[in-house]
Amino acid sequence: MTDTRDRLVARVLAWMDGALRGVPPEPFDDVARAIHTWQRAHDPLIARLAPEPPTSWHDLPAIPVDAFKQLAVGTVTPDTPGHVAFRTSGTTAGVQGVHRLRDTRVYDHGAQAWARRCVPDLPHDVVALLPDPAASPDSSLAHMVAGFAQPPGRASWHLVDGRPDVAGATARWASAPGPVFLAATAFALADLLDAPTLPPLPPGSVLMVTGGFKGRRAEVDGDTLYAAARARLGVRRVVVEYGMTELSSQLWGVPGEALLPPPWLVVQAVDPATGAPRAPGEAGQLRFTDLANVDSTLRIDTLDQGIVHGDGSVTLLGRLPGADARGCSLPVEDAGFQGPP
Amino acid sequence: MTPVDRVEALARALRADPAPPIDGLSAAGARAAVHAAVATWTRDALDAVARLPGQPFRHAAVIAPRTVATAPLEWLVGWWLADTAPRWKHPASQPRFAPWVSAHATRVGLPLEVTPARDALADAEVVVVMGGDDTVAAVRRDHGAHAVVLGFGHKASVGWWTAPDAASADALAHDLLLHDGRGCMTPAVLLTPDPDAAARHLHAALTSRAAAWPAGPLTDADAARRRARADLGRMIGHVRRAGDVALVSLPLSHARLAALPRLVTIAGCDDRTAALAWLAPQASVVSTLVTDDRGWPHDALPVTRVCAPGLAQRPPLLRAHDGVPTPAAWRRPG
Repeated sequence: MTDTRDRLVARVLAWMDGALRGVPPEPFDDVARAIHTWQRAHDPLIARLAPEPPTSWHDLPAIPVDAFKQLAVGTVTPDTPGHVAFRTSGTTAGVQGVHRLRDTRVYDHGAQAWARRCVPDLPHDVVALLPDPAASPDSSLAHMVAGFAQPPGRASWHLVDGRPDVAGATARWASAPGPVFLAATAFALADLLDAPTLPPLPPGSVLMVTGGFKGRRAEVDGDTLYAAARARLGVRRVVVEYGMTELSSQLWGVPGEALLPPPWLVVQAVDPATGAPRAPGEAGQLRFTDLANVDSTLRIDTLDQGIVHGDGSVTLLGRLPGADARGCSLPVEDAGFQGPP
Repeated sequence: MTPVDRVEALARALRADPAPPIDGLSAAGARAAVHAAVATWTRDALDAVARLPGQPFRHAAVIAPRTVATAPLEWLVGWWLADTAPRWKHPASQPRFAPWVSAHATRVGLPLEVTPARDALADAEVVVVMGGDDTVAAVRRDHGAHAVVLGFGHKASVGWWTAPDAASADALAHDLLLHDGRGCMTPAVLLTPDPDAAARHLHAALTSRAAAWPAGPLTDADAARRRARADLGRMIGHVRRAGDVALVSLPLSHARLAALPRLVTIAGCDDRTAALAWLAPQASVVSTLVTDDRGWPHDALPVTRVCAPGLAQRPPLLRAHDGVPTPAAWRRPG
C-alpha cells in the first residue's frame, strides 16, 4: 500500500508543479482515476458508493461532507500509526468531522504553492488570530498558516478561548520589523475590530480573512467588515481564503471577486436533489474534486452554495437555502426575536 | 351558536375547502395536514375543553413554526372555547395559511388576528411559542415577566415497531408522510427487530400513498441532506425508493434523530431493552414514541407521549404536549 501511495503522491506533486507552469504532465482524468482506484481498494465505504470503477473523473462518487462526522472516511484509520488528523470546529452541531492523512506532504506542497501564486510577496512574518498549532494540531487552518512563516516558527498565535488576544496581537505587529501576514477568521476579525484602538499594520502587510459566522452570531456583511478592517488597520491588501477541513486544497481571492481554486481542485455547482452538475454561472450545491485528497476521498459534496463561472472561479453564496428549518423549529431570525445575549 | 358549535363549524369549513394554502406542501399534502389537524375536534373532546376549570386569559398569542403550518390550530381551539381572543404570529415565509384560517374562523364567529409582525405579543397574557431552542429562550426573556410563556423547542419522534406487517405499515405511512415528514411528531427513526420486513412492508404502503400524495418543494438544503443520508445508506446500509420516499436502512449506531422530508430511517434493534438503551440518552428530545409494543414500559423514559401507529399526527387536545399539559395555555389555575 505504501509503495503505491508513494507513487501516487509523487504523481500528484508532479501534477501540481506542472499545472502551475501550465503544462500538467498527464491528464487530470488519469491521475484522478488512479487515486480513486487506490482509494476504492482501501476504503470499503468508497467501494460501496462506487461499485463499478468510473470510466471518467466526472463519474467519481461524492462523499457527503457530514459523513466525516459519522464515519472513518478514507484509507487512513484511527489506528494508522503516525497519521495526522484534522478536525472540524463542530461549532454548529457540536459533532466534529475528522479528516485523516498519512502525512501532509501533498497538503503542504499544494497549500503553500497556491497561496504564494495567489498572494505574491506573501509576508513571511505571520501574526495569526488562530489557535497555536502546537496546542491545536488538529486545526488544518492553523497548520496551513504556520507553513507561511519563514523561517519556520516565525509566527505568533493570538486566540485565547476562542477570542482574539488583542493586546498580544497588536503588540506583535507594532514591533514587527517589516510587513506581516495577519490571518484571521471573519468572526475573530470582527472581535478584533471591536477594540477601541488599534495600531496600523506595517506597510506592505496582508490581511487574510477566512470562514463565516455559522453557529456564532448574526453574519456581518462582508463589505462592511473589509471596509472597517482597511480603515482601522491601515491595510491595503486584503485577501480571502476558503478552505474546509475535509479538503486538502484552498481557494483564494480578494473581497468582492470570485475565488480561484488551484488547477488540481475542480469545483462544480450541482443540483442539490440529483447531484447533476449545473451549467457555468448557475448557482448550486458546491462539489469539490481535490487531487490533493490522496488519503481520504477525491470528491466531496458540501452544504454550501455557490456559482462556478466559466473560468472555474467560484462565487460563494453561503449555506444552502433552508439549512435552518428543522422539525417544528424555526430560527430566531424567522420568529423575529433576538437570540439570547 | 355556542363556542363548541362554532369550532365544529370551523372544522367542517376547513375540511371542505379543497385548497388550503400551505407553502411547502403539495395540494394533497396540505389537505391531509388540515384534515389531520381537525380530526380530534370531536364534540366530546371540545366539550371537555370547554368545561376546563380556571380563569380564561384575555389575550393570547401563538408563534407558529414554518415547517408545520397547522401546529397553532389546537391552541386556538382551547382559547376560543375559553372566550380568549387569540393572535397568531406566523412566519413571513408562510404568509397565506394563517389568513386563510382567519377568514374561515371569522365567518363562523371566531375571532382571530393574524400577523407576521414582531409586536404580536404586546398585550398577550399567555404566549405559546413553537420554535428552536434559541427562539424559545428569547421569547421567555423578553415576555416572561408579564406573560405566561409556554415554549416548545426542537423535538423529534421515534418508532419502535416490533412486528412489521402490512396493516401497521399502512398506518405508519400516514405518520411518515404528513407534513412531508418535517413535523416533530413524524417518526424520524423506526427501530425494529426486523428491518428487512419493515422496509418491505413500508415500501408497499408508501409507494401507493406517495403517488396520490406527492411531496411539496424541497429546500436546497433538505434536498442535499436527503441525498447525503441516502449516500450514507449506500455506504453502510441499504436504500430503497418508494415513490418519492427514500427508505434508508442504517445500523442502529448510525441512526440519528433528525427528520428529513420524505426520508425514513430504519434501524435494526434486537429488542425492547436495546430500544430503551438507544432512546435513553436522547429521551429529552423525543416528542412521541409510536409503537405496536403493548408492553412498552411507559414510565421507563421521560417520553411524554406514546401512541399506536397511525395516531402520531393526531394527538388529543387534552394531553401533555412535550410534558406541558395543554390546559396550562388555556386557563389560569384557580
